[in-house]
Amino acid sequence: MSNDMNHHIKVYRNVFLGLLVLTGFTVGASYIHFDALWLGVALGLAIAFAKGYLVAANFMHLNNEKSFMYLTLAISVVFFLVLFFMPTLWHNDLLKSPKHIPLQNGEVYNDIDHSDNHGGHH
Amino acid sequence: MEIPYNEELRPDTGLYNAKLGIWLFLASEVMLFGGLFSAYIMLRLSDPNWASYGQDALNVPLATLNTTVLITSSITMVMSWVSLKLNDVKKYKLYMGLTLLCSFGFLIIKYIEYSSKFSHGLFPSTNNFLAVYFVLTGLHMLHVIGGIVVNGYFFGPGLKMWNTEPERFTNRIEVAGLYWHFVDLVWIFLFPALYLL
Repeated sequence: MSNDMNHHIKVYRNVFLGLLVLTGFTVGASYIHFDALWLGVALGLAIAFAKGYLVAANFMHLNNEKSFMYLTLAISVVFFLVLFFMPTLWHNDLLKSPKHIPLQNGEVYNDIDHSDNHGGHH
Repeated sequence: MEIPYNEELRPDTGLYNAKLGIWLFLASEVMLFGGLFSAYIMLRLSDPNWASYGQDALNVPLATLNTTVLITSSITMVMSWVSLKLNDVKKYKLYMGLTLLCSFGFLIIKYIEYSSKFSHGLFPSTNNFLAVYFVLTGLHMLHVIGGIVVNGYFFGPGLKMWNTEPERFTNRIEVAGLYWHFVDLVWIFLFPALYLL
């Protein structure tokens, strides 16, 4: 038992150090200017998921858990992904969002009017 | 009536009951925070005024410090469980005490952040970003307070169970730890999502 625990303590310490380093990366990455906005967001989220994995797998012992637990949590993961991607579908108008969005000053942001601008090019 | 499977594993699930219970609770928490995250993405993608809401005015150094404090509290929490597994109550008290200190530290730093926002006239009603910021960090803060109540109980009066049912008490600390690591996990996503991206 004691040897087993000593091994666990080492793992926990390394995970702790890994989390601190990745926190540094997260903050550092936010100062990098990416031409494509999604690249910065993807990098930030990738580091967050890496940190999340370290915590869930080690501190929460999910790397060595009963299969019953994995089945239960799989349902959560599926619904979480649905929640996560629902707004993206909405934004791409796959769910038919309203075209007219009111701005703060009372004007209307019209999503479909941009097509008119092409008329100026000959 | 005695509640079964506090220590021994239930044959069909392979788990003691409290562990399955806390994971089911955490699954519902994933949905709670997931729904709010979803609302955040939705608002951010569809609000053309978003860039003017002053997201970059948030205090990144303070939030980074808070991230470090919370990560530290996670390792001390897991070490308090390890200490019980090694039958070392003194070390358990030390690590659980440190976890509580870090938790209070997190709240103090959050208090400084909130006060600064309020003193500048920034409230949840000010704009969409601040509404999202206060709801998500506020809900997370409530979870920290909940963790302090539970951990505080196990640090103080709840510890007497160690003398009569040590294994059950150790399981209680593991379950409290699972909750606490989840609170850490939520912050790991909140920090970049609200402060950095």
